[in-house]
Amino acid sequence: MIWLDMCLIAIVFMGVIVLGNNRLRTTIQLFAAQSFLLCLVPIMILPGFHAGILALETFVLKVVLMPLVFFWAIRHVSIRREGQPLISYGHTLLLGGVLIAGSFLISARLDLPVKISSNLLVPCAFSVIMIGFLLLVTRFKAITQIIGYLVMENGIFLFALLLLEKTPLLVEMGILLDIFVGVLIMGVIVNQINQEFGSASTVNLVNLKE
Amino acid sequence: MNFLFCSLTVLVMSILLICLSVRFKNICNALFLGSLIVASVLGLMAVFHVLISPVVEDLYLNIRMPLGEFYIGMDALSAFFLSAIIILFLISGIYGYGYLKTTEAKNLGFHYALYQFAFMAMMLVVVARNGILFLMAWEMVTLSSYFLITLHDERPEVTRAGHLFLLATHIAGFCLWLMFLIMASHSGSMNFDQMAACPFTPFLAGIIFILGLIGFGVKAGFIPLHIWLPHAHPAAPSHVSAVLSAVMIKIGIYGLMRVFCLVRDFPHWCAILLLLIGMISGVCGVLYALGQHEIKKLLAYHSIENIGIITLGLGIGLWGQIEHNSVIALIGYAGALLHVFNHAVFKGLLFLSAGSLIRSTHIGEIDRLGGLLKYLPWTGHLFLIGSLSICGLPLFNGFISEWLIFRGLFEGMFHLPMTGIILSSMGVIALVLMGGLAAACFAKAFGVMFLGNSRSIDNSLIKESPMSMCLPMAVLGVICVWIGFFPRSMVMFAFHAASVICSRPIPPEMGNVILSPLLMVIMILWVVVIITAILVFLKKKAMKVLPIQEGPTWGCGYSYMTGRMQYTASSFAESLLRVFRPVLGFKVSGVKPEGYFPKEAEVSSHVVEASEVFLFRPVFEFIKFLSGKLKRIQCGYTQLYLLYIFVFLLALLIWKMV
Repeated sequence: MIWLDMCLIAIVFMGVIVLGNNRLRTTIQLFAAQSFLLCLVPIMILPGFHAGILALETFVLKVVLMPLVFFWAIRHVSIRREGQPLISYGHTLLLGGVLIAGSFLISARLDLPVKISSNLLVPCAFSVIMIGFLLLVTRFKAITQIIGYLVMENGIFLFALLLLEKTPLLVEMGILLDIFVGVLIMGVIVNQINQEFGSASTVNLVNLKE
Repeated sequence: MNFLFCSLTVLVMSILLICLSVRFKNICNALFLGSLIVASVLGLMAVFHVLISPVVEDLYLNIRMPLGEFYIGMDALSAFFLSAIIILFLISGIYGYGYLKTTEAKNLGFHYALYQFAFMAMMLVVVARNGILFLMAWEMVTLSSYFLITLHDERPEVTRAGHLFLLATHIAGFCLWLMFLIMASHSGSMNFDQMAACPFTPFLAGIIFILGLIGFGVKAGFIPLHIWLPHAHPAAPSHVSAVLSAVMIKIGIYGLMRVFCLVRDFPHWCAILLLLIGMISGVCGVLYALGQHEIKKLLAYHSIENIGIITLGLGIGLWGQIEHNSVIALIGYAGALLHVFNHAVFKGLLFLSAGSLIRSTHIGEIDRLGGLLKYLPWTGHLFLIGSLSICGLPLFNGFISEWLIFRGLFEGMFHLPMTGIILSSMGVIALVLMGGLAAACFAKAFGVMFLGNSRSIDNSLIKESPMSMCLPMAVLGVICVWIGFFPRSMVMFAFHAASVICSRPIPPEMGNVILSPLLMVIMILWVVVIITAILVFLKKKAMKVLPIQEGPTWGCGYSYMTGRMQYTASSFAESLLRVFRPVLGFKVSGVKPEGYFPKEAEVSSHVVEASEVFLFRPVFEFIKFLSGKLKRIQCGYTQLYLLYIFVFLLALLIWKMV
């Protein structure tokens, strides 16, 4: 059980490090590491065939395939680091801390109808969702935004682990497939934005207003 | 009923066919004219069928529509409005074909298809017997009229007028939905027969009345809800403004009448309100009309005046219905109905002849025209017939309906309680005032445009419009004179329709009692006219031996006459407008010439549209200000949009926990 808690806390920390980081390569590596820890969680909660398949899937998709797509994308659009974000890194980190505290508060008052295997599972899931959202809101580069989206998805995955016993395998696989296709499409869109505007920053999308 | 259904089917088919053959101009024209005539004849046959056998026929088609059934029916009230709609659409359609034939407007085929669509929708409104069907047809009328108005949408003021129309009528549509939903939830059905069978409490009836008054009043153009009307009519092509003014605003009146059929337990203040609205709309409408310089705008304001007259009849009729006095109710409603028909005919005639005038001269401003009667004999004389009718002069149709409304108000003075006496006498005074001012207004319009000398252009270059435009106008002129001379059939038709509204039988002697003084008046005037004609003829004969010298109009012995040395329309109206300055907001700006050798000077006058400037503009400005503030939310950053979603979700989560 202690290993599960350690693992969850490590996942949140990875998210926090992503928040304060501006190198895209590192960000992608951090995301891969976070996903690797994530794929261990189901095995720890409920060792067995179901969890094993889930872990394998997550590993193949999130630790291997998606980072490969991202590395391909940043090579293609040749960007290394995030420019000036909407809120500076220091403030983002502070805000992340506040949001983590807030998610612990929220989950303390939330009563769930299922048996919870670890007290940290729900607060950590919330924290990761919040961190993902913060990334989505504060960053301009399209790649970081996609990573923010995926970090959020990791949080949702953690939350969904509450229902590990009840969810059929087919549904989980479907969800993961959706996400993978989504990432592929976003990779293409990043390329298109780059070609159209000469940079992969979403600031240019302001022109689409009205 | 079957005839009517056939007529609607013909229209639907023609719309489809015209849309398919838009590319081929000749096929389009032939299809338009052919289907218009066939559909109108079929529709008129349906009307006659109702006239001959007064059995109410319903058609219940089991077509599954969302929220309701396709349920249409014909009674005398529907038939009455149907006759006005069909006659006006047929005549304006033929005129419009001649009017647009030479213009190189794009997509004439679509214009024709929309015209047919508006025709079909309006017929559907007056025969619908189901609330949802009624509202759908109502919206169809609104949308098709919007596209008809904006035919020349390359001009910015036309687009503006169209938007104003759309905005106003949608606010009205909202009120109507609310009204029908209240009625349906109270009676348990959207069908009109169930609504009519269900009693309403006075409080509920009052709410329904207010909603209906706003909803139907915007379309009908009650002051102060009329703001779209003076903008839309000049913007539309003339045959469309004829249809708009003649029948489209009347379906607002139809709606009110239908509501009076369905809900019977109105409190007294409803009738008082209706009478007051009638007086205000009538008097203000004609005063605003006096201050206008543009012929179509002037006619648009006269539509408001006539809606006021109709509302006076409606108000006194409603009062009679509330007091269970069937004589007052019947006369009031019949007067209102007949004026609906008459106004449709003469206002249609006036708009069509104004259109013919504008098409020939390319000028709509009254003060720049003059002396056109010699060059546009058809247009001029038909405009004269329309003017005489709209002033309510005897031997023309406006006189008959105004007589009926006067009669209703006088009956009200004798048989109603105290408040009724006061309001009926006020109504009589207002009606008299309207008649006099309307006469002044049309003396101004006709006199300045058709008499005297030209003020700006060379009249000899002007050509009369083709026969395809003159003949439809002449038909309308004939109808005006026919009703003026032989009012019996239309008056009885109006009484039948009125007895449907208040669901009381017509007393057997009613027709003769009402008509005999009227016929007497007409007969005496007829004799006077004949005697005058004989005297004029004799004078001509006697004068033949004497030499007759002809000089320019207003020559008066001046050596150097110019066209500008005449009374203008503005100066003609100025003295009257000065009297009504406190109620009107009449503004004169500029410098008057002074001294013996005055320098160049100019004077201009205009009437301030009070409800637009003081009521609607501030409200709309405020809404615009608020939405301007709200617009800052939309800044273009996807990040911020995501933040909105996030904040909203978080708020929901916290709200759920607390």
